[in-house]
Amino acid sequence: MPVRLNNFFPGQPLFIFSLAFSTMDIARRLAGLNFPEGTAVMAEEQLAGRGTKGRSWHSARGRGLYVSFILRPSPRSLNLLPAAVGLAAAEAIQRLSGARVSLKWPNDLVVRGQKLGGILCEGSSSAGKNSWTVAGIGINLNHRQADFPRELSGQATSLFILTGKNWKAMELLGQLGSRLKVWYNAVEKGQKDFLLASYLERLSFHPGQKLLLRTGEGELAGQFLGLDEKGGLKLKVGSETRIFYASEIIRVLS
Amino acid sequence: MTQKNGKPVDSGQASPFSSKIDYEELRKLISLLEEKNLTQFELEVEGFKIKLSRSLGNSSGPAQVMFTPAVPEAAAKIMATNGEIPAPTPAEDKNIHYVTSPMVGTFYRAPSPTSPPFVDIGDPVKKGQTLCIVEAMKLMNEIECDVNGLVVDILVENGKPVEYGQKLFAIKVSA
Repeated sequence: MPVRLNNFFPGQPLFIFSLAFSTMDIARRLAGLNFPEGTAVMAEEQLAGRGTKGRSWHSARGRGLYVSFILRPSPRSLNLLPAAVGLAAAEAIQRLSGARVSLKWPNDLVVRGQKLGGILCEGSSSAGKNSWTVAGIGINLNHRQADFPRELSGQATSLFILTGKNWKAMELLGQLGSRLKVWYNAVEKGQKDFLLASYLERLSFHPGQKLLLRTGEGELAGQFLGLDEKGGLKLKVGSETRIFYASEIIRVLS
Repeated sequence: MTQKNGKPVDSGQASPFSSKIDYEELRKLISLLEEKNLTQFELEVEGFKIKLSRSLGNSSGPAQVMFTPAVPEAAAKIMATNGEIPAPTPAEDKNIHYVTSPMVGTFYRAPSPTSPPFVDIGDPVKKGQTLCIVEAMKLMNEIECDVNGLVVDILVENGKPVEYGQKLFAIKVSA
């Protein structure tokens, strides 16, 4: 029986799995079956948790929050949805634990350069009826340093490592639901400026700094000028101003 | 390069007006229509049939020109306004449906750089089938086909940026 997550979309189901291959895959399936907006899928452990670009998401039992939400944004909201989900997750963690969480564009959750969590959004758009977006959120709560695979050591952190305390996934989920509701509504109501200003303030780098990007045309460096109205990175590369939507920040250069 | 006998070289391209009716003649016909306060005028000359009409309510408004060549395939519809005659455009095929991008982002024809593309030109497609992915800020959005038909054109190159509402695929809708 699904538990109700009352503070997000009241009355929508929350499925909690003790073990799942991937909450993303389950939520995608449910979205395809017309499950309503606000349906959430959580797992205590994932066998095949997914990250971006086909990477796996380390999902040890009881150590983290692994949850995917079904959303049905209007097409006009699609571009800003990742920023809204990132902001919601950062604020939820901060409200619960006090940890100052930044966003590494587009929406890695970082504390002092180390990754605390990540967000993966996948959607399906059709000019016909059933369009949906699934927002997956993975947050490291109670991981000890030794819980992370060797290749992540030094790059990953958890709320336990940061605060010395254990945290409950359900408590963070409650905060996440209420912050997601706030930012998702802001996007849907077209409050772009408010959202973008809050998002810019949350970023782990600031206008004027130099970034190294991985793009479709290879690596390139540029000075960060700000965000465009769709949340894209506005960079001064050489003498021209360019906007990037589908790139990855390798590091902040200066 | 000099021309052999000083005569202009014939381009070989037959303009619809080339042989019997030229642009000046059309203008004269339109003026005549206005001058005489006529609403319709039809003329048939070798191989061409022209029908001019205008509405009486707005005497200074543009005259409508219907131009019907003898070869039905090349039928062209021309609007003459203030002496400007735009080049005839080929008729839009009503059976072509365009799938457009719901967001700004980068267009991908395959789920990953090493996978084969979702669809190619010439492939039959069904309603609900994934045609491509548009990515922005790590939101991977699959674009579904909303008709049954045949992919006749892919209008964006893999890895290129797309705008909101930009045409991505031309689908010939099956009956």
